Amino acid sequence: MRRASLIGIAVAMALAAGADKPPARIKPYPARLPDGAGRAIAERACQVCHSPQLIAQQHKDQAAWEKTIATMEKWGAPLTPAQHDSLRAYLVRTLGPSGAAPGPRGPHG
Amino acid sequence: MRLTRRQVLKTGALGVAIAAVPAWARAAFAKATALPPDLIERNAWPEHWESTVAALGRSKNTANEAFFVRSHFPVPSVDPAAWRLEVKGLVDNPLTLDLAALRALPQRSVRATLECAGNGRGLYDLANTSGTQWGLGAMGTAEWRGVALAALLERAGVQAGAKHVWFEGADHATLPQAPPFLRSIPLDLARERGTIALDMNGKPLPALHGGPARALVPGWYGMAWAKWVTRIRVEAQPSDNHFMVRGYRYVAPGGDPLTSPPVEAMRVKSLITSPLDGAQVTGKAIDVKGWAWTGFGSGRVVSVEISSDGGATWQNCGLEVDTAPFAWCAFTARVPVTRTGPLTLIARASDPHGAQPLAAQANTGGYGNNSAHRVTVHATG
Repeated sequence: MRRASLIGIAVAMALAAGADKPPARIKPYPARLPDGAGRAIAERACQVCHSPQLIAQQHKDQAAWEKTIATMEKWGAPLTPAQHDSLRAYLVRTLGPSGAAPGPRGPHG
Repeated sequence: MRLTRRQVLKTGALGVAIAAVPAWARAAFAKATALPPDLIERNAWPEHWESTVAALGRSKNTANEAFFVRSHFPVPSVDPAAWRLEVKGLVDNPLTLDLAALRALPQRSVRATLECAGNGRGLYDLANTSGTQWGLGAMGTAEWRGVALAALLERAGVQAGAKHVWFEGADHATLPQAPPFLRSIPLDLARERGTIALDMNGKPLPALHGGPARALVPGWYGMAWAKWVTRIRVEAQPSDNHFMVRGYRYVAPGGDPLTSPPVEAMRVKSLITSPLDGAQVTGKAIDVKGWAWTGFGSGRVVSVEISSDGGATWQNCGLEVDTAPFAWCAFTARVPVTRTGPLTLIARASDPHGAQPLAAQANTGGYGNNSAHRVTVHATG
């Protein structure tokens, strides 16, 4: 009996909390780039202009990432020549066509 | 992050600022407003927010707070008191107008649908994706108000030989060497349909939507609706801006952007707003409703059909007829339910050029996805 009332109170509290809670914001992509060697380079080079959410939506093979990096270098992305290959390897490994990061589709509301 | 003295000297002031990312980036974009509940965050900076289908179905005009946001670069700081709109180039009387002068000119209301060219990119099956993976809601309809471009061009006196109108905005890339965003449209189109909008749904145009002033080009995808416009240039040639000649092009795999067709008019399309995907339905029929629109021809959809058997048979929907051109119109249908379990509804709209495809052919940029919308509901009898 006592246990039942405690559960009842807990349910009532949860419902009350739900009623007061603002509607959930839909953020389908992570606020941080995937773990792995090269993440710091990617944060510095890419997040000047793009949020981690946008970067994590891209799924490209080596040739496609190379093309993207070359364009961004031309436009002045903060990336040294020595970091170029490390960045490409990180992006192909974590955000390649078969990357483990969230897929490109996400929710559609 | 610590920098050596040599790094500081080598990179200079800009380099130091960039080296401080991501903290620096967070500070630069800190003015971004909080994400409203009717929007899905696809990119935190710059803001790429899409509307939920539920929000799009709520009203004939999409509320400003629920309206999708897409910018190429961070929202610029624009002081409305200092803001000026110039009309220059091949004109007899170059103009410089402040906001009060622009508001003093005759205003017109334009109800029109705005759709991002990349809407639905996330629903294409693309091997190498690039860009924001939009779902269904990078679009909305609003009642806009502002000054007809034709009136501004007439005051400026367009010279012979002028063929194009270029829009320049106050926004700019974070990296100094990145190209600015610039769009031009044909002069005839600017005269026929163009507006410099100052209001959106009865309120001053919000900064996220290009305030104090943006271009309206009803019928064309959003890239032509330039935001934070500060200069209108009348020219003989179209712009050769990166986003014009390379960015917004329908490029086939392995194709050359420079010779590929430009992304311009909105392809005919429809969206089922009720029932929502995944909904449970009861009874012997489902009341279906949604919106349909086109950027081609006179901007009017001629029919919308619904199939509940995978496209084998189609039934005609009721269609709102007295709507503004280039604005979505409502469609409704009552679809019989003959069995319990999952049931997929497919909507397809037609304009005078034809029906939208069941599956649009993907292009490398993921533009113009007007595949027929499918909604799967669960009939419980």
